[in-house]
Amino acid sequence: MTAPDLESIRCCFEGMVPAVLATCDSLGQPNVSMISQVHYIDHYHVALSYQFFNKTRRNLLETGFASVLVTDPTSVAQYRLELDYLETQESGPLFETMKAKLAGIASHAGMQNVFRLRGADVFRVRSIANVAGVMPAVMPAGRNLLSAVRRLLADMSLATDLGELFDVTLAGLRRYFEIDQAMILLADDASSDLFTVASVGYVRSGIGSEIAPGEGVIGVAAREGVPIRIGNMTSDYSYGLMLRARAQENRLGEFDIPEIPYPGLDAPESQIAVPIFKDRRTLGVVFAESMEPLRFRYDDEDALVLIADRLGEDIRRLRDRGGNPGKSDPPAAEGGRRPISIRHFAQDDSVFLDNDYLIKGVAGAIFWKLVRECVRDGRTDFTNRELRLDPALRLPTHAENLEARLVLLQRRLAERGLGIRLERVGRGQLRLVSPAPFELVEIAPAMAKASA
Amino acid sequence: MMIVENTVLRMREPNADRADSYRPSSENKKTLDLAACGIALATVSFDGRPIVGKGAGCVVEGATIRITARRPINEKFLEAVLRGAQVAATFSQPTTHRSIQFKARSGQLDDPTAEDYAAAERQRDMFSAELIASAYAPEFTERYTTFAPHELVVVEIRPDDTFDQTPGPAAGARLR
Repeated sequence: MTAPDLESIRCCFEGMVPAVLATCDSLGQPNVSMISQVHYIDHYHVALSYQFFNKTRRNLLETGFASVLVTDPTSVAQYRLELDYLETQESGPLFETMKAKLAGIASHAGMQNVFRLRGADVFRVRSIANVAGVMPAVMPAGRNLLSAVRRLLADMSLATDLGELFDVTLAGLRRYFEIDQAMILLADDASSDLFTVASVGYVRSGIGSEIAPGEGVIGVAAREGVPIRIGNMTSDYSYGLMLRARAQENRLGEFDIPEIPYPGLDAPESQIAVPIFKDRRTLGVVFAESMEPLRFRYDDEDALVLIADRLGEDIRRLRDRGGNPGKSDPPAAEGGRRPISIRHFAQDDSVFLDNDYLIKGVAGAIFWKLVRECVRDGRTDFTNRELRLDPALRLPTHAENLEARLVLLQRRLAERGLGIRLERVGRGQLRLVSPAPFELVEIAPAMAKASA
Repeated sequence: MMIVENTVLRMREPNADRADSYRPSSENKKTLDLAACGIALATVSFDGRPIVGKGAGCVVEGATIRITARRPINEKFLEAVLRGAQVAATFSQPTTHRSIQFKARSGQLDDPTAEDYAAAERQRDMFSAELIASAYAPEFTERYTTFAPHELVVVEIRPDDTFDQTPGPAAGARLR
């Protein structure tokens, strides 16, 4: 038997053309049906979506044999795969990957209420036969993803701090991969929520916007630790609908924090979310989307996994790295200008600048510490080390979390446009710069409740 | 109850109300034109393994269905049918997902007649229109449904059983 070469026919498994599945019972009666999804697992294995308990299912459990006809959506070549059933997975990374893809297929087919994944049936591929290469296809000129990865990795290696790393990565995705909309999100240790630290290609940056674990492709990729890809978008994974529903559930009171709007496309066709790992822990997610259906294929997924892996390594490399000292304005609290009002809500460390929401959580606590000591002691220079050791900040154990919060805070300050900046002035050193003095208002939990 | 007129099936199924609630409202719930369908075939090898195949057209003559199929894509399938293996054929309409499966204890191979060739061409045209209506590109559709007349062979079956294969809770229900 020739060794199966599933790699070379991976595009047959994108779900664009339904596959045909034949099974039989032990008495030799065949059964044939269309099947929504044949999923490529590795060089020797595929998985089929188990959606209904039917004759196909009974036959598989009885004989363990299957024969599948798949079609290359570009060349229209067709392949017959002989399969041996191994097991069914009803949860976990493979299941979630197939569930997301099936949701996209169901949406495309108008079968959202019918297609529901019960399990991922895993098969070993016994043989592959090319049964119909009707005529040579005119293959579209594809992107050279290997070259794109090489060039982006080279750019990333030059980044001197975390913020620059994120910007270089997103710029490279646009330049070398022709991905016009992308984000990098990092996970909050305490809540496991993912917050946006960088984005490209959106009307608003959405820096600081949050996604809960399990929400959409980003949340599922983070929770399961696997890339999640959808080629035909579906309401099951739509952030627009999800976030609108959440907003309606939590109607805001006067003192509740308005959420930073999720920046993503309203009606994307394709999405991909790839986890960023460090020490086997999901640190965050690289996310990209497109208005083009089936924009992200297996090869794109492989390429983005390499980029995400490098991001994980570089985040470790750059923690505590101050970067090049930038030019610095005079320190904070100059006189002669109208003070900037800063309100801090102790219950969740949310901070408002002149009545407009800035940030909350750990980043809010860091900012409040800096402005408080600036007003009280006239300090403008701080070190990463003192922030990390300050018990009041309740910083998570992992060092890169501080760096990520500082990048988030810097960017939110820049977006607010009041001239307050948090500058890097050396390795592990920060300077708070402001064009006007601060006027601080601390609001205790009881007061916030009474006011609301 | 199932009545066949040319290639159009009119039927009432068990669990009709339950099944209908899962289907597009625009669909004509009681008929399925086999000529507008994709044809999936299956048989079984001498060592008890299933073999998948694909049809190109069909002619219904009373209780007999003549399915045209391309030899290059169906070599193993045709070998097994010639040996006397059982046959299954599922007809599926892309725009509605309505599907029906016929099962026969055996199939006979035959040369195509003029009517079989004409039916294969009609099937290609109607199935192509269905695929294009389901958002498949015309270029893909043309290549996916194409055949050369000299490639065709006929598999004739007399179904013993017929099943509703439309995705949903009623899938697999036997039709009488």
